[in-house]
Amino acid sequence: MIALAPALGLLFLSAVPQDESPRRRLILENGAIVLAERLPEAKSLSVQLFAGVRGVSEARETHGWRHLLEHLVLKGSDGKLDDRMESQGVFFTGRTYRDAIQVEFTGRTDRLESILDAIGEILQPLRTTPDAIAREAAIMRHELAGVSDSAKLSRTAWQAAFGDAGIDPLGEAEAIAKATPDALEQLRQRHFSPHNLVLVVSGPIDPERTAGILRKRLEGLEGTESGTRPARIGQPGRLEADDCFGEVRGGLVKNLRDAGAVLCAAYGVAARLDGAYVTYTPTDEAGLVIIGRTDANNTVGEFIDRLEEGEQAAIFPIGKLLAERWLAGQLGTPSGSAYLRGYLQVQNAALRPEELLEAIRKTGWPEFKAALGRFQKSYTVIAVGVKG
Amino acid sequence: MIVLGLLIASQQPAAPTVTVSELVEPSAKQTRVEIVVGLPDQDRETWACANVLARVLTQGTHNYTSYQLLTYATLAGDPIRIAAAQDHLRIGFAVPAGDLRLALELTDELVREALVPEEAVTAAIDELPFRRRSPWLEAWMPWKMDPKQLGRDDVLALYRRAFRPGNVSIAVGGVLPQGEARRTFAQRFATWQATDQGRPRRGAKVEPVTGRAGMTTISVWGPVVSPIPAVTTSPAESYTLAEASLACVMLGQGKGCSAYRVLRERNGWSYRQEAMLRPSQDGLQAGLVFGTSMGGDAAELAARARVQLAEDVGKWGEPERLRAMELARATQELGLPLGVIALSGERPLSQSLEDRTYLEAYWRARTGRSWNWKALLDDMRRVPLERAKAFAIEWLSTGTTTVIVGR
Repeated sequence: MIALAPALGLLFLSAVPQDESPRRRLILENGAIVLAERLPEAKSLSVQLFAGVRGVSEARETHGWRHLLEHLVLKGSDGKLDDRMESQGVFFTGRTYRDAIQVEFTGRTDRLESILDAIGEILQPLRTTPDAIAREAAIMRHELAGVSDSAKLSRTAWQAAFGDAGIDPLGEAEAIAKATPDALEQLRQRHFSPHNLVLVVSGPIDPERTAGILRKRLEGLEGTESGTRPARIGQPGRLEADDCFGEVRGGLVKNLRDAGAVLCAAYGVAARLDGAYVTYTPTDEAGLVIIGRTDANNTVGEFIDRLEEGEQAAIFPIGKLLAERWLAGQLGTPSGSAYLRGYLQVQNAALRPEELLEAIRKTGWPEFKAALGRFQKSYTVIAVGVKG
Repeated sequence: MIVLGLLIASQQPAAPTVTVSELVEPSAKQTRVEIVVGLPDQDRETWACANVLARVLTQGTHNYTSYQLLTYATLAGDPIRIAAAQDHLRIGFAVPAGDLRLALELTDELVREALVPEEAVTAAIDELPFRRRSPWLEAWMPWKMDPKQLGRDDVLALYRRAFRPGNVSIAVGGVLPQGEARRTFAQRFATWQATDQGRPRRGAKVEPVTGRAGMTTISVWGPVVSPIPAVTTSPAESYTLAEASLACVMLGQGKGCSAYRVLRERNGWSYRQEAMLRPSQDGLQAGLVFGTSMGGDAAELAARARVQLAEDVGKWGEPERLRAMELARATQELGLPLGVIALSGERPLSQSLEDRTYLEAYWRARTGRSWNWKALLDDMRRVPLERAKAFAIEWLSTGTTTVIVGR
């Protein structure tokens, strides 16, 4: 048997390598940001376009239009963009988050120009028809029907914490079906306005040269500054999630730095609970760090509420270690690093994932203990699955 | 039909040992251990018992508490993964780079010293019938279980019966000195003598899954191929792993595949559709799964889908083949989140260290050989287009349909 304490001590000394990856960022005159990052050992290139939500708040009657827009723009000019990219060994996908639409391409470095051509197509005005919208809305009904239990619990927790300001980005089928070509084009103009755009390339590239290439692709775009981001104010609460199994607790966080200690606490708890997971989407706004289980429906809260000080102290080092390793792991891959950097910069040009890393590293026992409190019954956000 | 079973025992009849293989990668960030334990009986009751065992293996060993096991096994930042598949039980975890001593200790504890505590078994048996899995996992493993007639004795019997020399394959990947894992692990298990205490008494009820809200999944199960190159389970048709793999990518991987174009884009019948190979008693079985929220007769929809897909396969030409090969190549070289093999879940095994180490352990167990993505890719390049088409047509025309109707 091996003693735990010395092993942990050694790991803390060398847990996360220093970030020496050179990067080049340019803020263009039209407001768009381009960022090129060199990860010399990476095998692939990750190219990610982010379209932020300044001036693009979503209401109940338009709930899911952003998601629909993501589906439609990814089809490209001839509806066969995916086929053309895959024939070059490039895979791409889109995701709609609360704070941005993300389009991610993965390919070899010699495919950069082709990928940027594809992004050029995505940024063109939307040419769609009511029939095409109806077809896509029908496909999205299948997507919404297949939402996982963890996603249902998460969206319920967000609803409990933030009300309508936290509505799930996937949307509602009925609202999606009511979108029109004109309304979607207007939405696209605001969502994909240069002020809302961040383009990131991460991989084995020359940052200076690549940033120049990216600049040429985006500097000609025109658009007006499109407003502010919708604010979120969170509060503790409890809601039931229909027709799913499991339980989540959400720790309320005010911003990115505030999330550091809360992530440590979440990982500490999850390490102790077999089958538990942690989710957090980095944001400059108020958000949630979620601890959940979908294979049991009463163990997460029970465990947290009964945690005695001795056990809290025992999970402190492992929670901190796992949070650091999660973030370092993300920053070590083209896909993870481009996502974190792009998603943060599209919210606030000054934000960097290193701030979160620093907050995690600075988390001491008092901060950890206080962060655990954010998951305790009276202060947390709870979502539990119930039979439909 | 050739029944492969696990080959380890038959290849080393004199003195069965634990199979240990290595994937040395000095640039990795961790050292990964993947353990594949063959299920001794290929029936669903054994699978139910294995599911209970998967839930209780980390609940303490003779030398570690549950807390210590979970803590040590997550030191490298990844959770421990234990899952029951159709033909094996998988245990996977990571330790800090180069810490072979910890890797060996944890392996030994989980493989030989699990306590299988009564209260944990009871809790797992109570929970399993109510456990909700994603519609995709249900589609790939379309059975639900009610193991309430099982007891600790049954679970322990499976532990003793399955966890024995000759039936355990361990792969160690990532940072490790060449040969060191083979030497130390082989040494540790050299004198292991396990006692088979017989089969579990048959108490579990395993039934087809009956579906979940809003989502119907339709699966078409096709031919079975041997994981060993050039060895086929069905000599009359003589399909190979490479032929099946190419057909999988052309039929159901990526956005340019037949299933995406026909089921999603042309008809709007589904959002997600995919084709992969899953383990079975006889080898790897081709499966195509799509999910739909359409009402009506799902069996009729399945029949229409099969006809339209077969028509599309009939039109496959060099552009479709080129797309598939480029995607397969990118999957292998760049680590795209795609792949043709799903061993113990709905997710295809990718090029991550975790997945490659897992495949190595599985491949050694099933074939006695090392897993080799590059060789498979080379074989796929040599597959004549007509062979991939013939495989897909047989899959769609003679395969078995499973429908899990959503409520």
